[in-house]
Amino acid sequence: MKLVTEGDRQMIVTRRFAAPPADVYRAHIEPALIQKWMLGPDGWTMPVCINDARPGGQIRYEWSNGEGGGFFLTGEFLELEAPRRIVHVERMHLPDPTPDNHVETLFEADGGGTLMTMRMTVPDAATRSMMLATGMEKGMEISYRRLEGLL
Amino acid sequence: MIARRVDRAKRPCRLAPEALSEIDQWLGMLRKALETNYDRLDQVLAGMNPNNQG
Repeated sequence: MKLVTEGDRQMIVTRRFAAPPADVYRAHIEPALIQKWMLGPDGWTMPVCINDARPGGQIRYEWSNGEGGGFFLTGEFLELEAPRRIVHVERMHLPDPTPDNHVETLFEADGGGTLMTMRMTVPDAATRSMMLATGMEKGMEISYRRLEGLL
Repeated sequence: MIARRVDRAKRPCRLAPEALSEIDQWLGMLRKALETNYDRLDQVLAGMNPNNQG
């Protein structure tokens, strides 16, 4: 896997998979499959996975650490071209929503497998700086502490 | 990421290591989370198509 930044608003992830684009595409849009892998650090689960895979369709993922901690993500699909391209926007709720992250994911045939390219674009450099300053795992910790504060 | 100061006619620049390390640290965390996810996805894909050697 490769993760690089481009300019001051983009992050690009590339990864090869030993399965055809149709399978990798399905694993990105079918809730029962997404719930098996899009989990972040060990110990986390995704009890809620709403993924209405059509233009304008809603996305809602809820993660839980099994100890009362959790956070969620919402988004909308913009474009779907099975099995080669998905465009959506998403935002984390920690619990305040982060600025929209625009994500284009490409699945290209690569030998017998797939080359996936995911290009994430945030609205401005300040947003990426904020993401740089917070980060996903720190976000989880913050969310957990905030939840503890409420209980 | 670039620290500037004025020194008479000179404008010396240096890379600010603290800024670089903050970005590196965060990219490192994101990379680890994504790698964990995609390693799991390898297993999911292998299960979808038994002919694939994941």
